[in-house]
Amino acid sequence: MKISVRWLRELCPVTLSDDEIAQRLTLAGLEVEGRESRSIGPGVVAARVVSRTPVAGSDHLSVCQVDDGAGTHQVVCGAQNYAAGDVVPMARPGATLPNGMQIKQAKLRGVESNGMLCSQRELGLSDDHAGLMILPPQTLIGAPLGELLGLPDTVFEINVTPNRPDALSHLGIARELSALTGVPLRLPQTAPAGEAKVPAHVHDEDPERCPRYLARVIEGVKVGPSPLPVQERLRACGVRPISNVVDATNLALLELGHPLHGFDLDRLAGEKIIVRRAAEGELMTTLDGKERKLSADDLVIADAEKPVALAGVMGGQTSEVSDSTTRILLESAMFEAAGIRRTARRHGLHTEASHRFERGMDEKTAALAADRCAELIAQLAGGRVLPGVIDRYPAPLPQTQVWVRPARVSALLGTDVSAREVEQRLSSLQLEPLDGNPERRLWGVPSWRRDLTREIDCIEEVARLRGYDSIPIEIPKAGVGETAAVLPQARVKSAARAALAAAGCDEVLNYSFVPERDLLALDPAAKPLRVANPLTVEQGAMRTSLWPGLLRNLGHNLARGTRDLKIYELGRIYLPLPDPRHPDGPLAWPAWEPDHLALAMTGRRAPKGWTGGGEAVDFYDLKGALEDLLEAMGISEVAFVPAQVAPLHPVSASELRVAGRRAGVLGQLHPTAAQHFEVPPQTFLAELNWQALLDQATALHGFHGVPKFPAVARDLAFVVDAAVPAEKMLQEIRAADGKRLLEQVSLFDVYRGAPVPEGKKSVAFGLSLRAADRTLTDGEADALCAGIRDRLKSALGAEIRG
Amino acid sequence: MPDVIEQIDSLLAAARAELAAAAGEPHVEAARVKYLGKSGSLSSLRKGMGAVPPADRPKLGKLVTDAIAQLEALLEQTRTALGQRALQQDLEREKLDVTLPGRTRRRGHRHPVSRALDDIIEIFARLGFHVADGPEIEWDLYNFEKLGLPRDHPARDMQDTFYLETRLPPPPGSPPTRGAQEQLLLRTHTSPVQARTMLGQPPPVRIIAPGKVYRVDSDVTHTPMFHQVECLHVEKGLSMAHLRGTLDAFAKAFFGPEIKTRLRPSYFPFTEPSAEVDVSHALCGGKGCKICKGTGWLEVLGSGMVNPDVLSGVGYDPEQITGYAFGVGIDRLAMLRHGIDDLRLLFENDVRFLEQL
Ligand SMILES: [Zn+2]
Repeated sequence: MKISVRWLRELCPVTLSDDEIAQRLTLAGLEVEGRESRSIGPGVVAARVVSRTPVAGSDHLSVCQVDDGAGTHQVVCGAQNYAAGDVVPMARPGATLPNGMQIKQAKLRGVESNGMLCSQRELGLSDDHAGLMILPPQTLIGAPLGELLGLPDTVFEINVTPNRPDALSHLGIARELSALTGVPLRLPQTAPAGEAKVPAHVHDEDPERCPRYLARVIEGVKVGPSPLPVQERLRACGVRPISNVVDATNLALLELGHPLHGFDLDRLAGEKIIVRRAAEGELMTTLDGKERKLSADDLVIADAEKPVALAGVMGGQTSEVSDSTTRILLESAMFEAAGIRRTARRHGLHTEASHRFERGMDEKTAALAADRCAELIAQLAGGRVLPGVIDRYPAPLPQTQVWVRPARVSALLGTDVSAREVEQRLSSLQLEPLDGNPERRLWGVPSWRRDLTREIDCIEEVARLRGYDSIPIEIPKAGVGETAAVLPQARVKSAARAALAAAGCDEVLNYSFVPERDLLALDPAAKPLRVANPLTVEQGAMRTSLWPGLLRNLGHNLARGTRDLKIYELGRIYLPLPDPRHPDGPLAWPAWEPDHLALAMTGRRAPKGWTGGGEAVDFYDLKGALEDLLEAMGISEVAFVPAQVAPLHPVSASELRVAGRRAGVLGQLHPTAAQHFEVPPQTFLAELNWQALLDQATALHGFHGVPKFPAVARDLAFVVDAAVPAEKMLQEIRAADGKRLLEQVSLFDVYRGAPVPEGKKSVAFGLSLRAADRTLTDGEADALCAGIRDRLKSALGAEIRG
Repeated sequence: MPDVIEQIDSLLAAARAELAAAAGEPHVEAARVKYLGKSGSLSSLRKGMGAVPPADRPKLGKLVTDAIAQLEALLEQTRTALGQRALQQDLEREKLDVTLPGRTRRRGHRHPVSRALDDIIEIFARLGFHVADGPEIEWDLYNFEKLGLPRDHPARDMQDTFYLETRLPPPPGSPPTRGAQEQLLLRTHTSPVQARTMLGQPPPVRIIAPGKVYRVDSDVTHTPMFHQVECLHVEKGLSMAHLRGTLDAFAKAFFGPEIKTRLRPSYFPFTEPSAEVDVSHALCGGKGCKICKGTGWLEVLGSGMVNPDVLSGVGYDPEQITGYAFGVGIDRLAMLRHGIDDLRLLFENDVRFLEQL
């Protein structure tokens, strides 16, 4: 909200500097987020255009003779919205405009120009740049514009939190400033109502939605522009001046915070105001010119025939104040917050009025605002405020009363706050002590502070006013049994991350929502949870796999020239199923959100260097990264098994089994999917179920002793059918080791081609044999090798080679 | 007998000549086999001793033994010399170009946000906080209602919400809705974990809840998904001083020991009193710069004492139990820590960005 500091100082005449005011307010919770200084130097004055003639050869420039009180000057001007006789701001040569522009004597199109005629934007007054700022014809020629407007001023942009609707006005901020500084408030002048009859009728048919409706009447007004300082004040607060009557309601709103509305009483059928619900489908045209189809939940202000305003949101066109208006019915009402919020949302209208009513206004301030606004209308538009008031207020709100214990204040703030201080602080906010004693006192809350209903609310007020700086710093004691032990899962996770980093994988983080077509491209049967109101269709579906994100990341990087990519993501996927870990009861999770770990690789294993490299990554790079990962996590019972995985190429599609259970899938991306994601066909992917890995992980390994006896090494090479999987051969080798002498088997060579016959391959194994309790003899080693030979021959038809 | 002496001498002479010419260990070994091997020349002489008259045998035996000793010494000498020469040659080889690049393996990089998240978890572990978990697809009940944000509450405007199309029966106590859709949403903050944790256990509670959160917002300073850590400590006798202490300890651990913190009154529906927390800007030393808008302070998180309504809403007695809570935006903390100036970089996953961190 914009606050004019000049105006603020009128309501609470502090001697603090602007900076100090900003600091005090910010540290009391009314954050001054921005400030704008509004000032116009003495070189800009009011001047009358004496004559205007087009500049030859230009389609828009005019040369004007301008009287600035000190003489007549020739000025070239490009604006179109003025005529001879108009009074406009003129910047004399030597003047500096608020935007830093220096005015000099100049020649435009060869025509001499001694100054500049200005628009509002050029003067830093508003964004209006449609033409020159036109001043009232009676303006004193030669007077500095800054003085005419009541400048200089500073405008604060204050962030008012939703719990403080009372602070949405100059008076509201002034009350805070007064409480903070002890400087008393100066309330503005009002036209208090007496006991006279008012020539209008008000029926409030819905006191629940409209607990109070006040109407005053002003007769004999003359609608026209407001004086310059009033216009400036409105502009400073971001409100466009319209006419004196409308400006008066806006001034009162900005000053006191209560929304007001002026009707042309002569255009209200039957001189009647009826507060009622709209009929479903009823039509009305609001002030913004839009025809609106109303809902039965919308509250309207109607006259005897039709709705004339959308209550608390926006007025209607039919009863709008116009140039010919002479009698005003001024509405100051109180509407229920939730209803206003629904109507504003339904019609997509967010107005100054709805913003405030949604946050909750004050029924008492409504009366003050009516009196103040009536006074302002009379001041600005002439006319006479009729002394009476119509006040429909069937159930006046009782005063809120709160018990406050200073000991509780101290306990919550963690520092001693005396009973005297508590009383002083609460009194400064105009709370009244009603009952009780120093240990426990009952306070009456002023009507505008509807946020103060409990002791804790008052404690917060005390804390706020004395400043949070006064709260000491204290570290909570460690609780019993609460230790900072590193959980096994955290250990495993960081070991896994280290392994992935060592494998050269960069970690990525993607949005949880993806384009549904990406999920379908990988799995035509995917049924993701959909976002009802996504920002774009690209974010319409909750991911059921991490692959779309990773593949899009590959695409993004490839498009930017990075070709060698190894990335991984560890994050949740979202499945429309009950979560097996939190399945029942009121705290059940609505969806299943398992953590997954996914990897993607494409490009070269390593860049080409002088020692080698430059080879493309393949399936075994991916598998190796997984093997390293599983080893780092202490997972031992691992198998890779060919499997059908739709988005993967059949040549390498496989699944990872841990302890016999499926824990993930891996392989080369299917060429069709590669096309969809615009990534190379040589792209390799894995996606693992993180929980399945954690279940089998070993955070810390046990020690088994260092071997005491030497090992014997033997190499064996076999020629076998090319289709026989290596894993099968390894199984047979291990099966031949009845005496448990085989410490390690490594597969170190696979070869196809001459002299190995067609359809066969040669596979070579290095064996390390060791007995735990003695030195193994050559004879024992030979016997085991012979056993292996026989077994591979009989089981797999493998022939020993060479 | 003289024959034999002569034979020994000539054998020794021949061996000397061969060893002098030896260029390496194989030559030395060949000479050893030739003269001292099982069927070597000197060994044969010893075997041929049977043909020598018994009187000469001791003398001759000594001659042969001496010759063998001589030869062995010679072999050893030659080996040593050869070793020396080889060492010398090795040391004098052409020097390597040590400026050629070494064989390296490119390491992967952590994402700055996940790294910040892990660091924060570790810092809070030291302060005695456990990690608690909650769903990202959440009920209105836990995301709003239980936190003092009923429907039509204006503060809901602060958090524009993504809803899901899916319709499921909401848990008991859920607010009535006009559209059934409005029950299931993407959590707008990590605070529902507070409600879930407290509903699931009696006090004391001392948790942090890290994770992803979502708001309908996308511009230069907002992404529709971001990361938060929620911190909640509820126990007998906690005050705002403990809130300040915990925040201060956290800020110093995360940003550095010279960092100061400042609390400013603010408003959050689920805390009261509420405070915005500013940390002094390390980059400009708190003097004020463009990033901190000249104030020397950076707003990093929202905090406060747990609202008594929230406590009674989960069945705790606010007269007996108090607590403090705060929520930190991790993405912003990560950006501040690394000097990242564009939020969008965090989720583009450009490797040229990731590998700098
Ligand atoms: Zn700074």
